[in-house]
This record gives sequence, structure tokens and C-alpha cells, in this order.
Amino acid sequence: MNDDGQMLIFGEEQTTGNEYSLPVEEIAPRSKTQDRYFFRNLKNYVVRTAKSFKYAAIKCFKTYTNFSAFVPNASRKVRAFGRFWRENANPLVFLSRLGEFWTDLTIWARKKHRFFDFYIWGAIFGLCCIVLGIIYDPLTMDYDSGKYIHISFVAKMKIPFFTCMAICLFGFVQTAFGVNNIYRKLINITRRYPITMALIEGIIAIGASLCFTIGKDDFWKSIMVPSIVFLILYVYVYLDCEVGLLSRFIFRKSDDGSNALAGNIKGFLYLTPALLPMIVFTFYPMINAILMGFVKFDKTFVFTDWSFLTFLNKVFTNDAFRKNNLTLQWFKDTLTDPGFYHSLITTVIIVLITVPISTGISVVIAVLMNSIKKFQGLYQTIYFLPYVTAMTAVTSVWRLILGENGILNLIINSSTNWLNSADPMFIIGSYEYLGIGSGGEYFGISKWAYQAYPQLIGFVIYSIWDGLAFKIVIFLTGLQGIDKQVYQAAQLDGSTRLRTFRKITLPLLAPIMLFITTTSMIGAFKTYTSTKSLFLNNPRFETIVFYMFKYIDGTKTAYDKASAVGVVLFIIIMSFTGIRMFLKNRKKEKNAPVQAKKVKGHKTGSAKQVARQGGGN
Amino acid sequence: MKIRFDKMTVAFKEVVAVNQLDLEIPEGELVCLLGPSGCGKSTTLFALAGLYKPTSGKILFNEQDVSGLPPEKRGIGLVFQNYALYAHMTVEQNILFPLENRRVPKDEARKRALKAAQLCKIDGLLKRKPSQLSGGQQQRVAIARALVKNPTILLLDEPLSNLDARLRIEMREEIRRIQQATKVTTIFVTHDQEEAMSISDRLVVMKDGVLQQSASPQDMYNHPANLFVAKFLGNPPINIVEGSVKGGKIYVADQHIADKEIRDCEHAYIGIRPEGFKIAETAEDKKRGFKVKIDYCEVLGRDTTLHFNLGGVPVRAIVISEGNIKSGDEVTIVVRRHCLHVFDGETEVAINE
Ligand SMILES: Nc1ncnc2c1ncn2[C@@H]1O[C@H](COP(=O)(O)OP(=O)(O)OP(=O)(O)O)[C@@H](O)[C@H]1O
Ligand SMILES: [Mg+2]
Repeated sequence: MNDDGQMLIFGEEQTTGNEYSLPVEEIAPRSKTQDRYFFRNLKNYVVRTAKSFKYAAIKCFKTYTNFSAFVPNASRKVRAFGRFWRENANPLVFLSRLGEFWTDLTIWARKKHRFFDFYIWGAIFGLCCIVLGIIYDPLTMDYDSGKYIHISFVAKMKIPFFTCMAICLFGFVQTAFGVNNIYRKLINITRRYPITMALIEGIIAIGASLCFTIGKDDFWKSIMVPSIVFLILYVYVYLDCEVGLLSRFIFRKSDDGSNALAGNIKGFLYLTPALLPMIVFTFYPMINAILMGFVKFDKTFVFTDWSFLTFLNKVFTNDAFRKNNLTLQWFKDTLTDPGFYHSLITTVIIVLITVPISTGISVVIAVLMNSIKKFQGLYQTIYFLPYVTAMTAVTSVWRLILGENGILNLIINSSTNWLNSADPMFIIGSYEYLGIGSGGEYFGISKWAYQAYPQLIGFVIYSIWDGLAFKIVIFLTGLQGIDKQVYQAAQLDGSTRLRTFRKITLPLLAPIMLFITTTSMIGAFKTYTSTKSLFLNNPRFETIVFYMFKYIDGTKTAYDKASAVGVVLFIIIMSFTGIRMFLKNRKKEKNAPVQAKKVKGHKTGSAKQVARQGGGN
Repeated sequence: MKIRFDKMTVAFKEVVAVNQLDLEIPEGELVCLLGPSGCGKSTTLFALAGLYKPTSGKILFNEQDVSGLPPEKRGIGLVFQNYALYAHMTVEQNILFPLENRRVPKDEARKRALKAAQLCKIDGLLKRKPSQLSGGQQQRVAIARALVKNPTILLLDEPLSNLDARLRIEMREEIRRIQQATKVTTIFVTHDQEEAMSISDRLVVMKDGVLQQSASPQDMYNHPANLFVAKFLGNPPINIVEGSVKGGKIYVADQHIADKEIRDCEHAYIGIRPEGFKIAETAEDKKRGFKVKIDYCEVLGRDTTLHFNLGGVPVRAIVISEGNIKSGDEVTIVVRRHCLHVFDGETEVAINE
């Protein structure tokens, strides 16, 4: 009888020499496991693809329905949809999904199958990029003349707004979900080799701007040139990984003699497709939008002339342009306009009320839901439904709730019309107090006082509710990441439920809390679509984005001024986020023990910590 | 506190993790729970702590049913297999947490925490976070956190698995010392039979959720209740050969190797501890013993390990190094009676009569 295997595990191996040995794991024949992996992951891969496209489809559908609410003329809907799809953030959303998906894919491929390494996926994705580049090219068809107009992507005032927000949001979302592995890697490399990274990114950035400028009138050129630039870059980085061209001289070899960087560059290479749409659809338009804020369009420099390179060219060569068309006037105008402060106050009120309340409520709901054992999935779906439902559908229900004969009035027994009321509820501050200069009448409100209408309160209620779905889901994933045994330990330690929540759940959720508050703060700052669909026309309050849109609404084309407002909004959001981060860091430092720093010293660079910091930034 | 399991079963959806456990643990004993991975050791501890509810059966503390008692009222300190430390708290806060819940005055709580930390040799790490500790240090924090409550029952789920060999021996003696000093009833889960045998008053061996045997270490070693327990204990492991019993004579492959006054058995497993062999010296021994050919022998100072074949199975014998046996020699070997165990071929239960 042969019991050697068991004897090894329980007898000899563990006790001879008194040394602890790791438990012996059963290792199945290699080829079989690989096959199993392959098929299991094939399934994963299909599911992921489906998911990725499902999300894209949901986003797209939502956008469409929202959009159709703005377009009264039904016959133009279809055409307008195409246009909207082309001009809006959809390519961004779609491409980011794709990038996310692609990164997942490559991570998986690299881990499991050397065969499916990026040679193949890189090629496939490169092709996809080119095809998508053709479909979502930076040129836009002018539907009336049937010609392509250059740069309409930047031209639409939505760009500064979308891009400013998107850049923050995108980063957060991506770090939080899909591609954080790669970001982690990227952060790592950037820390170690900042100059090289800057070089590479610079090359990419130049490539991206070429994308928009070379062959301004030539449709094909504008696609082929960037494609070739990226292709060359791609090939170079690839060659570098394989034979170590430049990197051999730049980067030190690691201790064991292997070129650790080859792996890192590979990681970076994996990132490029995710980075590429970000650069093309986010960074580049953002830079343009920021620059546009300093420009005054006139007869000598009309809006349609705008491009990054023409701008630079004019700045450096044209004295008259520098004198007449470069200006800080828009910023001055914005910062001295009472209307701007009115919208700022409104926005800040919305942010400061909705974010803490809806975060608080969603934490509690998430914790309660997490303790439900049966039908948890069902509850989650129910709570998540509002998120996937088109906003117009949701708001029409809310219109019923907030209306004069709505449920809200029934409950609190009032007759206020929360949707359309001409009488202000209360007055906050005054412009005199703020010491801002003069301006015109504003929404029928005296320019010297901020008057809050019931609409604002109705909107805040709606907003709080609206944020719940997403937050709950994120909190739930966070909660499920907490080890169950920690709760069991707390229970054994005699901690009451409330105390466990306060002392254990909340602190362990802190990183997620940071993510949620920051993203929802950003979201609240850019409040626009929901007000539009909730109040249809005149909400009697104005968020900053409303204020921005005033300049480019309908026939107005003050893109320069709107850009300046966009920049101001961007700065405001950034500083709020900065304050949030600062508070968080200070709290951390206060709690951090003295010895801890020493230990941290030799741990720096560990992937986990970098990721944690990366996730927070 | 005296603990008694009364036909306790814990079943999850598909698996029965603990099956009809009947076990009594006298007050103040240190009991080691042994068994292969997944045999239900942790589940037994969790049921005892009140974290799992028994599917059927009862748990009694001092003959009182505690099934309805919530975990925090059972006075149990539990060290989890994966420590389950509070990641966001410092070591000190971790240890203080149970005391804060009990509203122990601050000064006293600090004193007690420091004492527990000193006992576990982590008093230099009080201000660190768990993530800044090694696995062994984390484990000791978990032990300190369990001890600081002055529990009446201390449960340790593989508390030493992450320590290095020296610290391990030190810690297990420490645990033994603490246990003897406080007289707290302790259940200690381990994979390491040597650890189990050296510190415990009683061993409990489980397999697939079923209790195999509960006895003192020496008792269990000398009288294993079944084949599994016999194989589980002892290092080097017991030799098992197939054979039969006829009229008080034990045969292996038609060779009569020893006598034992037990019932006949057509197909039996014969277990002989390596130290249960003796080279026949006296004439009587030579008559009683049987001849084997030594395949090879290793002389390790005081002991010599002989390898030979018995009934086609390689067997290992440890004898005192004297005389000069070489590989290839033919010697007569006698089996010491108390080191010989016979198990039924079908049920694998020991045959003693
Ligand atoms: N929460 C659970 N749900 C379902 N099955 C479980 C659960 N916890 C444990 N089991 C199963 O019960 C059996 C016993 O598990 P247990 O954790 O008690 O093993 P163990 O003896 O502690 O093993 P180890 O030495 O590896 O820790 C295992 O088969 C395990 O898969
Ligand atoms: Mg266990």
C-alpha cells in the first residue's frame, strides 16, 4: 500500500528539522491545466466583451434618450442622433471602454498565454484604432453643406466642459476599475524614469496634435499621418522591448541581470491604446480649450481658423495677433460678472448639500444591503436600475413627484410648486456683501441678492436620490472586499453593531469614500443635463455649466468666452478636489505613527502602495 | 470551563463540515485539534465561538447549553487563522478594542494591553499598523488581542504557522505557560503533530468532519483507534503492511511475524512503529522472530535505520546502533508487542481483542 503522498504531508516533511514548510499543493499535469485555463478564460473574455459593449450601449442609449428630450423636432431626431453621437463624449466613452477592455485582455493574455501576447492583440487593436479613427475622426461633417469642417470637436463648447470633467473623471474611473494594474505600472515607471517617460509622452502628444493639424483639408491624410506616427512609435517601443535599443543605455539592469524595464515598457505599451483615445479625445481638446480662453476671435482670426498649430504659429510670428487677439478679458469679465457668482453659489450649494447627504445615505443603505443574505442580487439590481434608466424617463417620474399635486406635497402637506415657481423661498447673502461690480438683471432676480427658489430644493432632493444608485453599488463592492472574519473578530470582541460600523466599516471604507465624494463632487459641479430634463426650460437657478452654455447656445458663438468660463470651472473643481485631498492627507498624517515612516521607507515602490496613492490622486 | 459537544453537526449548503461530534473537554486542559486541511477544525472552533450555529446538536459549557448565547457573551478569545486584525488600527488600538467595548477604564485598559503585548513580545510595535508587521508579528498581535479579554476559553486556529522554527517553539511554550498560569481551557488547532504532542494534555484528531479519536498524546500514540490516526501520528511514520491474523498469529505474506491475542482477521493492516523492531539476540528471540534481508542501512549516531521489505512493502526500522549490520545482511527481527497495531482491512478500526 502506498501512502507516501499523505505521509509526506502530515508526517516527515513538516517536522523534520523543525522547519515550517509550506503546505504541499497538488499540481495537476501542466498541459491539462493550461487547457482548462484557456477555456475558462475564453468564457471570461466573451463575458467581458459583452459587458464592455453592453455598458457602451447603455451609455449610448441613455445619451440618445436624453438628447431626444432636447430636440423637439422628431423628424430631425435620427440625423441629430448621428451628429450627437459624433460630436459628444460618446467616442470617448466608447473608446475608453474599449481601452479598458483591451487592457484586461492583454493582462489576461500575458498572464495566461505567451502565445496570445501582445503581438497579436497589438495588431488587432492597432487595426481597430485605425478603423475607429476613421469613424470618429476629428473632422466633422457639416450636415448642411455636406462638407467636412475641421476641428469641430474642439469648436463645440461642450468640449472644454466635457474634457475638463472627463479628464478628472476618466482618471478616477479608470484607476478605480479597469486598468489600474497598468496605471500602477505606469506610475511606477514614471517615478523611476521620469525623463524617458516625458520623452515618450511628448512624442505621443506631438503625434496626437499632428492628428488634428496636418492635412487640415485632407481627410485621408489626417487619418493616415497619426496612424503612421503611432505605428512607428509602437514598432519602436516593441523593438526596444525585444532587443533594447535605447532603453539598454538609459536604464540600468536590475540586480538579477535581466532587463526589468523591458517588462515595464511592455506594460507601458499595453497602456498606449488606453492612453491614445484619452490623449486624442481628452488631453488635446482640453489644451485647445484652455488656450482658446485666452483668445479673442475677430475678423482676422475667426473661430473656424482655430487649430493648435495655427495658434502657436500666430503667437510666435504675428505681432498684431499678439496685440489684438490675445487677451485676459474673458477671465476678467467672468470674474466680475454677478451672474457668474450667482451660478457659482448655486453650484456650491448643490455640491455641499447633495454630496454629503447622498454619500451618507448610500453608505447606510449599502451596509444594510450587505447584511441581507437572501435576494441580495435582486435588491442590488433594483437599486442599480435608476443608473441604467434613461435620465429623461427618471426625471419625468420626478416631475410627477415634485409637481404641484405631486407626492412630495402630499407628504409634507404643502402647495409649493417645486418645478415651476416664481416666488423665491429665501435669500442668501448679497452681491454687495461680496463686493462684486455691477451687472444686469438676472433671471428676474435683483442683481444684489441671491434668491433661492423652490426649484433648487426640488433639484437637490432629486440629485440626492439620483446619486444613490451608483454610490451604493460602489460601496457594496467596497464592503464585499472587507474580510468577513474582521467582522467576526469584532463580534467576538463584543463590539455592538453601531460601534462596528463606526470603528471598523467606515475606516475600512475610507478609500472608497474618498473616491465617491471626489467623483460625485466633480459630478455635482458639472450639473446640467439633469436640470435641463427636470425643469425643461427655466429652472430659475443657474449652474456654472448653464452659465457657460449661455455663450454658445443656439446661434451664439462666443466660444472664446465660454472656454474661459470652462477654465475657471476647471480650476474651481481642481481646487475643491485639492482641498479634499489635502484634508484627507492631513488626517492621515495626524493618525500616522512615528515609527511607521521608517518602515515605509524601505517599502516604497511596492506596487500596492503606489497603487493606493495612484488611486487617490 | 468544561466544554462538551453533544452530537453537534455543522453543515453548509453542500458540505457537512462537522459530523455528529461528541467530545468532552475537561476544564483547564490544553487540547490540540489535529487533522488534514478541510477536515472541519476551524468550523468546530467557530461553532464553539458562536459564529456558526450548529445545524443540529448542542454545545454545553459546564453542562449548560450555550446555543442561544451570542458570541460576545461566551467569554471566548479567538485567534483567527488569517489573524483578522483591524487593518486601520495600530497594534495598540487593536489590542485595546475588546476592552473599549467592555468599557474598561482607560488606564486599566492600557495596562492590560501592555501586559498582553509584553507577553507576546510585541510591546515595541504598539504604534505600528498591521500592514507594517511581519506575518509572525501579526499573529502575535492577534494572540495578544485574544488574551487581553481574559477569556474563559481560548481558541487558537493555527496560531503559529507563520513563525520561524525557533520562535515557534518559544511561542508554543509561551502558550503552554500562559495556559498553565491562567488555567484557561484552550483549544489549539495545528497541522504539526510534534507541536501538538509536545504541549497538549489531549489530542483530538478529525477527518472529513468526523472525530477519529480523543485521548492523551501518549495514549493516542500507543493505542491509535484506527488506521488514519496511526498514520497521522509519529515521525517517521508508522509502517503499514497488509497481512492476516489467524489464531493469535500475525502473518504477512505467509510469514509469521508476531503473536497477538486477538480475533482472527482475513485481511488486516498491520502497523508497526519504526522503533518497534528489535534485532533478535537471545535464542528465544531468534525462534520468535523472522528473517529479513536488509536493503540498506543508515547509521545515525545512536540510532540505525534499517530498510527492508516486508510483504512487498518497504519498511523502515529504527534500532540502537550496535553490532555491525551492513546492507545486504540477513538478520532476524523481532517485533515489540506494544508497538504492533492491527487494523481491520475493511473498517480500518483497530483490533484489540
Ligand atoms: N462558509 C462556508 N461555506 C461553505 N463551506 C464551508 C464554509 N466554511 C468551511 N466550509 C467547508 O467546510 C469544510 C471544513 O472547513 P474548515 O475551515 O473547518 O477546515 P479546516 O480543518 O480548518 O482546514 P484548514 O486546516 O485548511 O484550515 C471544508 O470542506 C470547507 O470547504
Ligand atoms: Mg482552518
